[in-house]
Amino acid sequence: MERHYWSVITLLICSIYLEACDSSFKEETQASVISYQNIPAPERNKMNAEKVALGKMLFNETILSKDSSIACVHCHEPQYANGENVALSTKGVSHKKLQRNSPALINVAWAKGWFWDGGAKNIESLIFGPLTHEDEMNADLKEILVRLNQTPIYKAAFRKTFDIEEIKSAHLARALAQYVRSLLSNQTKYDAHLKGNYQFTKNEQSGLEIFKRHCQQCHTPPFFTDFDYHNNGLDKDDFFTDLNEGMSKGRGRISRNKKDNGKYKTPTLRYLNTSSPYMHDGRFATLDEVFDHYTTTILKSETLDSLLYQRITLTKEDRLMLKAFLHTLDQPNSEI
Amino acid sequence: MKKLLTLLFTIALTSLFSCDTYKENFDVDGTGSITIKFNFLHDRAPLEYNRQYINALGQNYTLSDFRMYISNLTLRDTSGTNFYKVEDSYHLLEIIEESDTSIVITGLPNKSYSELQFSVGVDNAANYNTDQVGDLDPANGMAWNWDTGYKFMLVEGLHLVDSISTKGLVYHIGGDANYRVVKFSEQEINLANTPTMYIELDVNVDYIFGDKSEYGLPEDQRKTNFIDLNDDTDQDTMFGPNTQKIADNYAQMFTWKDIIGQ
Repeated sequence: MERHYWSVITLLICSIYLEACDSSFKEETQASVISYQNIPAPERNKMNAEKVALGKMLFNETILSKDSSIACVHCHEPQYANGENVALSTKGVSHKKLQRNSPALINVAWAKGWFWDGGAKNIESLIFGPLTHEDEMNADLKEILVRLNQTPIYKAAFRKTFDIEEIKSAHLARALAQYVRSLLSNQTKYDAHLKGNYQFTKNEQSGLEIFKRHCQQCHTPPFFTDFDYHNNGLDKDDFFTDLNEGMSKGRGRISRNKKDNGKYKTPTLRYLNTSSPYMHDGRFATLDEVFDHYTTTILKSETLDSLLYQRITLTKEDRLMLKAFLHTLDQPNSEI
Repeated sequence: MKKLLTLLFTIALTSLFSCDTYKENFDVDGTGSITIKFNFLHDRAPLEYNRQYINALGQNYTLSDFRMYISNLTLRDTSGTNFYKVEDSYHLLEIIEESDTSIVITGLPNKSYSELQFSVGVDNAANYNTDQVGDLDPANGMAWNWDTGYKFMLVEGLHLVDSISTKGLVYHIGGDANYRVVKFSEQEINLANTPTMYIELDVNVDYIFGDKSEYGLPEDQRKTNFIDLNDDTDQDTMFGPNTQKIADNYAQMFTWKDIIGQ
């Protein structure tokens, strides 16, 4: 009986100790989730530094586009969070305006679906989208593989890293996917704060509270996205049509479920300072325009996210503090 | 309680049977080889590109490209309990040259088989990663770039609306719902006696829009579905209900023609 009594006490002490540690333990975990060592990758394409380096070379390679005029990096520039600073790009080989904003490529290895609507089911398969789309790089895969196989530096690099004699499209996609997975954001002021190396200012701290109340259900830390799809009231029901191959349906175009019409993947808020303009079509140029939307212009439709039935009211002061917090997620200059 | 016992007994019985029936053999390679030749036909004559055809609903069209994936070739032996599933079995058939409508499988166990099975399309496991080599290489033009997956069947041509106007005829059919299994058990394939076999299957391409010989039959007695070429929104030509009707049709377009020992 006595022994039993002691074990109960020990358990009790342990649980109190654990409880006390809980909050800081959680924050520490959050800070260390995003690291090169933790990058999720499929079994067939495990992370490997040499492949990442080869992927980076290819990311900057113009011979992958039909007329050898552009490379991936032209629409995914490091100084813009590996995205672009225009709403809809015209840099593709056709110079036609694209239909979606070039997304920021940050911590995308952790996503569950890729493209704004989740049409790509893994990053390797995603690569073929921009490579072959007629208004993007418009590559004929067979043709660019001939070019790669005829370029001694690539021939040698692929032979070394993939142990192959002939470069196939799968190898190209895998190398590029590795590089894309390696594009991390984990060195912001926010991350420094979690590690105890940076003290939030008063405004930043108050901004965090506002953020927790209004934003973090979808922009969930530490990625500041839930990687899920939501309709945040940008358009009305009648906008979600079959026209233009159903482009305006967003997620509904992929799931072929009306319940997903008008939903788009939550973008990360990391590197917000350099990833403007905002939304899947880049319709908002500034953070204030984004706040204005959530305060005044949310449009009701069948699939509007229930979290937004009530508009988010932010005072001038709220905005100031919220911005102060959001800027702790900025892209640090040192990383550029 | 009695009900519960009955249920448990049924489950036990079912699982017993399902355990015993299908044994996969990957470890007993032999010297058997089968060539399966697919004869692409339309109206019982060899399929010709850009020739004017007519469907069961009297609509005119031409074809300029027809391709499809045949996958997961499987042979069941005469005991009925063992089957041999060919590994990495994905084959793109297209009419470029004769060999593109044949599949050659080698290294088969030298046994006697009573059933040949394959699928039209790409199974779920392979369908959602397009970084693949061989016939699944996206450079072959059968992968979508906006929605990860393969076109199981690609049908392109022209819909001749009337004597002057035409519209593009485009059916790109894929998606798990359109994966179909086809089985043949007409003849024994005896690789124990004759290790090299040549099988010919006719592919009645016209069946994809409905078998015209069923024209006089009421709808509920037809085996195939009559496809209206005017239903041509993206939904109807890529993933919509029409494509599932076409998939039911393409599951029926194969007929056993011949088997020759060599």
